[in-house]
Amino acid sequence: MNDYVIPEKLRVVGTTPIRPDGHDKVTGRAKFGDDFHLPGMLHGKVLRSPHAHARIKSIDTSHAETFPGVHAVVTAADFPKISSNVIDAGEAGQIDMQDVADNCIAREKVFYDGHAVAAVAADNAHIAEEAANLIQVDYELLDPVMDVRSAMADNATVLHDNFLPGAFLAPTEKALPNASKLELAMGDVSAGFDEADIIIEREFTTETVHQGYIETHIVTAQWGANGMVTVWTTTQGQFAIRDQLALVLELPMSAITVIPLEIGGGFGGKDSIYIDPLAVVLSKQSGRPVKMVMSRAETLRATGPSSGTYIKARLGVKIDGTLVAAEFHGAYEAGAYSGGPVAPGVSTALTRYNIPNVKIEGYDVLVNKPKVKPYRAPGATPSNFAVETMIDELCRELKLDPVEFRLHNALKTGDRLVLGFPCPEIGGVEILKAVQNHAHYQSDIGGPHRGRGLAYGFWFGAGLPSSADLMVNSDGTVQLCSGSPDMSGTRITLAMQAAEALGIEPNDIFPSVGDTASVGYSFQTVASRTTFATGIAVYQAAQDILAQMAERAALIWQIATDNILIDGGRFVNKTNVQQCFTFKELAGKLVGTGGPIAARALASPEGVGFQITAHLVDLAVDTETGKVDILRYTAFQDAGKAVHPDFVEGQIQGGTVQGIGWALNEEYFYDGAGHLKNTSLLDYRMPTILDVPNIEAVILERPNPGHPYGVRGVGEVPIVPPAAAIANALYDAVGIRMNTLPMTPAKILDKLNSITD
Amino acid sequence: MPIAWIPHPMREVTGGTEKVTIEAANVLEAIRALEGLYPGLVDLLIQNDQLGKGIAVAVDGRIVRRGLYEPLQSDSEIHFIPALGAG
Repeated sequence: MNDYVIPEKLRVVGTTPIRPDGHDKVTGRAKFGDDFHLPGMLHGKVLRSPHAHARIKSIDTSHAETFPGVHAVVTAADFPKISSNVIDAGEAGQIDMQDVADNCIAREKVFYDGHAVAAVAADNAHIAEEAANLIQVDYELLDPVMDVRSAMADNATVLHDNFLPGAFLAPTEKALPNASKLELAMGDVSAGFDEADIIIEREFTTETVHQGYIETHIVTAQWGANGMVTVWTTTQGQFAIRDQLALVLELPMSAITVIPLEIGGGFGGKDSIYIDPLAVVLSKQSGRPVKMVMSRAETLRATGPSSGTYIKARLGVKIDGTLVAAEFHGAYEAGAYSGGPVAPGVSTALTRYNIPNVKIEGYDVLVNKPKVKPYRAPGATPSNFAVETMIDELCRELKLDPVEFRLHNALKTGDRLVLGFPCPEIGGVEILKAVQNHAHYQSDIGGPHRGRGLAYGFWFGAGLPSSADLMVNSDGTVQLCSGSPDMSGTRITLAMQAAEALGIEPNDIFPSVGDTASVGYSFQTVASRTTFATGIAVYQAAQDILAQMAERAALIWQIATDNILIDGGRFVNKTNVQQCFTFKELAGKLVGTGGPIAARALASPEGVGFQITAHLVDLAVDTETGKVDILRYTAFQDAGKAVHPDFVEGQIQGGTVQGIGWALNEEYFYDGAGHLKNTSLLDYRMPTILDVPNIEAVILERPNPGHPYGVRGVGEVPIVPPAAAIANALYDAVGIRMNTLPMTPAKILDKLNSITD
Repeated sequence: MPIAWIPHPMREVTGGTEKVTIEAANVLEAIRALEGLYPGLVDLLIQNDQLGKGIAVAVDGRIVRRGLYEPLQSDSEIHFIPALGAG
């Protein structure tokens, strides 16, 4: 595949027009999941397991079925028992649909506190909830397995008797009770450590965290009289929901239409089904549409969080600061079913440094917690926390400037990755030099118990399939429909790319998000891919539109199409340059020259631009309470080309704040029996506007040759370095080296006390 | 001729060999050629006529969508890598 020739000057890309959906969203008119209603609609509620690990001996639904106002009750017995059916999830690998189905409603065992066991549809949500509580479930309790190290112990309770390891090139026999193993390596790690002057080895733990999207999971389903199913839901991918529903319910994909509503946050957590098949089957049984709304507690207990981890790492460095060897062992919670973020987590652990000798082991570990789901750069925050705090320790040991150390070891274009292939265009050196030259880095921090920390982060991103339709109206405006739900302003970033390509203004493009019956297949809005990959689909459709319009101009002027020059939204007769149509003028002539025109493109781009970033943070520590105040925060990131710089800034700020929450506050608290104890946002403590200063975003632009305007994904990497940057600043402030997340006031006080005792 | 890089966990099968030059027009032919040299590799890489669970393939530095059917150039590099999810 050839690289694109990126124009030196862009007219629309790089500007900051108003997003078309913004007014409706801030005035409450936009339709989110809970704004959707249908006449005659019932309300569904789920009965969830109170146990973390148990065998279901029997379920008695009789009392619920006769409760006044109840119209349908379902258990796993009402769903097809599917055979193992693996579907392709692109760069994410494959998904075992038997696991997905079992996660939606437990069949033989419950695997976590909150696992769905039965569901009820009733006249209102209160009746449904009361009736659900009348369902009698007889459980045989089993020992829960709540952390990766106990799950990997030889005598661990086995979650799935038929579990087979599924990670990268793993041997087919079960090597550990609940874990799959992944290995990567390059060079000779033993010889590398022999070469090192200083070797450090450290251990780290991080806790389970949730994406914390403000809108919970909400779905409305209608089983039509003709057997056609319609689902209105809040999702990162309407096609993923459709395909998963089809497989779990054994329906043809074409019998299901999924209509995406606006989405109140996802961050990776709204990429698959939970209550959706329950709503569909309740609708089938009741003959009425059924709406289901997950509460906050249900969302925290029963939807995919991100993994807790145990990490052990070893780094070897020469006295001049050259990294010569690294070993990284990372065990990631998968939750109740295999398939957590171990591969990206460990693959990005060291990728930003050019280390010749590397050995990596990753473990995907089953535990009695909800099946984990992606969360912004899944798996990379814990591994970055480990490695970047060790790098900081080495810099101090060697008395080397932390930016100079990283510059000395930085991965550059063409260096081989631990995955084996050479690194494509990457702007790591430029990022680090921008840190060095920034006023923040050069400023005096001042004050007692204040410190500054730096961390450097990397993320791959992905391409994957995207579709876009363009249709030219006779007044010169253009309809744009894509299959990518808009989570971050992508309606306007896609419209801007269409406007750039067509030579018209962005407010002449009317962007929308299509349902599964009206637009071509698109992978989810995940992996920092929409502005990049769907943007390429838009660009390709625009090229098709321009070619069709050139044919019309040639028809009107009775010349060969080759003689049409397309230049900035104008169509010029090269044989008589006085003859020229603007885009709008030519659009007005389409009906009379053969009819309206439209174009569709489906793209699966492979020229993904890697994401690289550095975060610099100043903080103050209250040594009496352990509280940390973030004083100043600057995030430096290569956007390739920032299509809409305000939204790039917003992605950087949002991801950074989530990373600060992961660093300082957020964690799932389970008791000894595996019950989640903090099931509200009062107790699951995410940062608020009062907890963080303005995050200054410094956007650099090293174009990605794999996109026609140089775009890289930007949404994921900002969450990668905050935890490490804050940990390094804590050491700078008060001399404590934290090896666990979150770094709560209690843990900070413990550390402070341990060094002063 | 294309060069196939052998992932670390597969090097037990190749006796430690890191990369192998093979004659192949696409990734599937490359895997078959590797199987001819090192019997057992194909079972690690292909399941149900597609790349195995958790495996992706990069050709000339790009993770490719055509998988087993990605065409190779005479100087192509093939890497079998873990499938990388994202959020």
